[in-house]
Amino acid sequence: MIHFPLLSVIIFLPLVAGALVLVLPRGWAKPWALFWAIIDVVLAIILTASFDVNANRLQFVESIPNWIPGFGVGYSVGVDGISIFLVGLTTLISAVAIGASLWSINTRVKEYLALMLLLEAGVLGVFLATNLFLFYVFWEVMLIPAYFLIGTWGGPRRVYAAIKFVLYTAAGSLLMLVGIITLGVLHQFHGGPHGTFTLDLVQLAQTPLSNTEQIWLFLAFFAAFAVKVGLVPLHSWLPDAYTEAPTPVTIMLSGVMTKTAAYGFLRFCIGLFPGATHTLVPLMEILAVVSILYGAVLALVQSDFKRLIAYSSISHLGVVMLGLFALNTQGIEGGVLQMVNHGITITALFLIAGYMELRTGTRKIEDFGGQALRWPALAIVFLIAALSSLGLPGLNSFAGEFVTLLGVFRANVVYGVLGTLVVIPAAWYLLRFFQGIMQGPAPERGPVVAAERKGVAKDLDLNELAVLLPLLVLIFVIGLAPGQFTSAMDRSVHALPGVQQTQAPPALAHEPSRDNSRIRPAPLQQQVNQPYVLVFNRGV
Amino acid sequence: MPFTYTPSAADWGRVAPELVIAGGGLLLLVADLLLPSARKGWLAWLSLAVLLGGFAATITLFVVGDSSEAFAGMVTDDWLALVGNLIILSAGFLAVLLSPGYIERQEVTQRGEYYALLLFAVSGMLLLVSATNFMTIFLGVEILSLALYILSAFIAGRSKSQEAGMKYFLLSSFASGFLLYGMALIYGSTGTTGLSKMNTFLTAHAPKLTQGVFGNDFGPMLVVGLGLLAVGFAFKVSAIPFHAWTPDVYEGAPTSITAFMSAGTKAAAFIALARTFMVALHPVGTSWSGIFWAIAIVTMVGGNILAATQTNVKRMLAYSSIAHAGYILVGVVLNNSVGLASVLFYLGAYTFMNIGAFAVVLALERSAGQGTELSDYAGLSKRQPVLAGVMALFLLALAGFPGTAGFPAKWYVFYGAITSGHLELAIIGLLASVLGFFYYLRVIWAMYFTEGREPGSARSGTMATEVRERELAAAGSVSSSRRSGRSAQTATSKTTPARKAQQGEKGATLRLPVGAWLALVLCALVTIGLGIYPSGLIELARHAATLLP
Repeated sequence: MIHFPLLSVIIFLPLVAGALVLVLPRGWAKPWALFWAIIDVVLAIILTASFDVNANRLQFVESIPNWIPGFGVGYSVGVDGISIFLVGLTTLISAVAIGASLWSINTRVKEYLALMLLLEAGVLGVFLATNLFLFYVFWEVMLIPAYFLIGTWGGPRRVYAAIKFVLYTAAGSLLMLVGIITLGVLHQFHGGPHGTFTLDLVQLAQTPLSNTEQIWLFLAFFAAFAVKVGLVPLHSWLPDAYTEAPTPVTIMLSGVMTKTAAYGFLRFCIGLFPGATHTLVPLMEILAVVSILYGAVLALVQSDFKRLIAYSSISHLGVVMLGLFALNTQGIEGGVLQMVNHGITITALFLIAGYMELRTGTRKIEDFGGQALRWPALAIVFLIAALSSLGLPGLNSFAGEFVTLLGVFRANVVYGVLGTLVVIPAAWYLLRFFQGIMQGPAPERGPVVAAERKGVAKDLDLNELAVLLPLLVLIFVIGLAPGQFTSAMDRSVHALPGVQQTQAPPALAHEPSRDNSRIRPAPLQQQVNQPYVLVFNRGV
Repeated sequence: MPFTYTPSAADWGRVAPELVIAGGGLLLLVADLLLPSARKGWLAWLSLAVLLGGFAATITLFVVGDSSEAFAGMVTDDWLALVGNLIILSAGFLAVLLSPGYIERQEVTQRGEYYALLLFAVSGMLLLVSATNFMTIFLGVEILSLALYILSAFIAGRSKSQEAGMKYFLLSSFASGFLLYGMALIYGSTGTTGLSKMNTFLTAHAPKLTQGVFGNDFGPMLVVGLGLLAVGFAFKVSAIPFHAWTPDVYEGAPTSITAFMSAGTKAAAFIALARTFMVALHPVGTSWSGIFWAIAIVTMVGGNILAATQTNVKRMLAYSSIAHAGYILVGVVLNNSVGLASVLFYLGAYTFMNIGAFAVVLALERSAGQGTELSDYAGLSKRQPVLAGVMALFLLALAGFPGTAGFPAKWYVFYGAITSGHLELAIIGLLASVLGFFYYLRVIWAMYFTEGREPGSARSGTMATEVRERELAAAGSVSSSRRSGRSAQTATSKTTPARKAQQGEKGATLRLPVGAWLALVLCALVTIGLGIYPSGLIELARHAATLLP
């Protein structure tokens, strides 16, 4: 049966739009890029709406088995209950980032937009590829535009940041490449004389790997993912890249690109090497705790607020990792939800940081003070984003962090206690950030005062607010109805090997008003078969 | 023993590509005499026509050829040879396309000889890839080398070019000596120079050999012969530690010839090496694969390290070609059909991306070899957006990014290594290529992330060059001694005021002849095409590799 290749269209639409942007007149470039980015969001919404939470794990599968028969690789894409959220997130954040570029990027606009769209295509491909060859191709495709975007449009130390970024990620990626090929070869060898080399995820998942093999392969993939997710001690490229990149690019890097790595851990490390995962859980959890603590402590001492957000990102992604390697339903679902939340919140924070930098030309917290009086709208959205980031109940991150930590506690009390303790500084550095800028005495001199005299330090205008608006809406929607999101993941998370199935916490996963019957502990089978109500299914 | 052999018509048919090219070369010499000097430009078109004839002959052989030996086991038209032919003819074709405008700029007057020699070099390479006897292998090596010695030194007025020719001649003759000595010793121990007879003999006696190197009569002699042969070929493919000639020759030779040599010679030498070692000497693989294992590692690591220290783009590409020789050698070490297929695929992919990169170097090179420093590429994306774009593409391909031909090439080689149990080669090779990212991206960085000076203005004063180089060095790890030596050399190179003015003019309005554009577009298309859909070349390579188990 030939159906409309929705996934391929979602992946390649930005790519084609990006290529065409180069031949358009300069004035059309920005509206064109934004238009197609929004079309991609619409397609992602259509995909989400027609996604069947109760059907098989992989949906919308497209496959061209003999793309490169000589290598035993085909083109295949598919989406499951985990990747569908990340696809939606990616298209949304990309559209927001391109929207944020409309006023802030004015040099070499066409090349810039082409690279942004290429980056979006690469990230989408990573989330949707179900063949490791294809996955690796998209994985590396992300690298090139990111390098150019940081290096060309970045701040004063952009070249250093760009080269550091590439060398770190390339070294990790090439080790993963060795791992990918080795995995395919092992699959062939374990298949006996009739074994074939394949990189298809579904087939690879059935490879009977020994524990030693699994551990080595896990570490090879770990090299690529740990660098990209910014796990301490492989994080040092991250603050430089985030700080030097122009704000929309920082949003792409932090909002979506890091998610590819967290997704990689879940899909490949946990999905393919359950034995190794089980063995290496202490390592992963300790690295996650260290990352949370390290990011938080360094965020606390930054005076450059873009750097502060960068370190907070390391910390928050640590929470995601902590949840994923709890290896139970709650931990993983919380982790994935937290990926989405982090993507939304960090984007909002970086946008706000970018707006403030654009107005005043400075990123030092000390230069600001008492701005809430002059920027009431900015202060409000900043407060919402900051509260979301520090995990205020009712907003998105609280739900994610709560479910995550609940899962971690169930898995191991020690990591749970550690993880919970190190989340506390988040409130500290974010409030310090907010207060330092929006409250307290106004500065008497300095760049902010100079900008005000010049009349450029205005409050948010409608365009800027429009870019922020979808994020603010999602912050509340996810915060109020997280259960709708996690329940859609259930089947896919259950399908992961070696994942303990825990019951969802009644208070959070299911909103009492909607479906009281599901609070009752139900046998597993029944739980799976129950009909789920999806927020986004409503309108269809 | 009296030896008589009457060639049949089929024998001549099997060497049709060689005949077409060699005949075309002779024709070109005559045409050079007959054409009035104003019409010498036609010679380039004529040689393109000859090369197209070579393509036609090769493709005909693909269709109607019987993949068998000709002239009493001297040459063959099997698919290994034919795929080699395609690669070499492509390299020759691209080199001829690049030549016309360039050799005029470099003030080369003897055009007829230039194209004729280029064709003779191609014919030597074609012979080398089809040779199935030590005699014909040596013949091929010498034909191509002699033509290339002259071509390297072809810019009479430039001392670097003269130096390149001389160096290439001396070192290459030395290597030929090794090759011959190795061949003699192997002949002594196996009693034949024919590759297929050698294979039969060694298959029968291999069990004895494996009892230990000195366990039988011919063991030591054979092993020493293998070593010398390996050294000879390592020279030709410019593997470390036999690479010393490469950077100087590549830098000094006319860039069109450098491009041709880096792809064509490498392909021809590698295929001959593969045929000799992987096919003929396959049974004694354990005796020689260790040699290439060590050479491959040293070459991959060393080539990349050395390339990372260069500030001259042409020289950097020379060292990078050494590094690539290392990756290809990984395929040779494997001594199986996957290895052979990966070698062929790599050579095919490498030809287009590397000639493409050299074509951009050539386009930017001014007279007297100026304009190849990294500093000359600063801000290129603003001055020449298209050239900078394709250069970025070729460099990314050389670095092995997906979407370009470089990725399936690397994938195939390292897949072969892993599936044959040489995980260590894959890990070392891939980690070494991280360094590759660094120096290829440095050129991209210069083109895109730095502001170029106004073309032609700063060239008059060396101070600006010095400052620029210091800035560039700050980002890259460049040994200061080499840098100062290099800039001093640039400063003292002979430039008359008139020529200097001309350089300024050339730099400001860069106009490329249509042939060069065509070559660039061809290279770019193939580089992307092989990146997205490599299957065609893979299947060709796999079919050619069925020579091996």
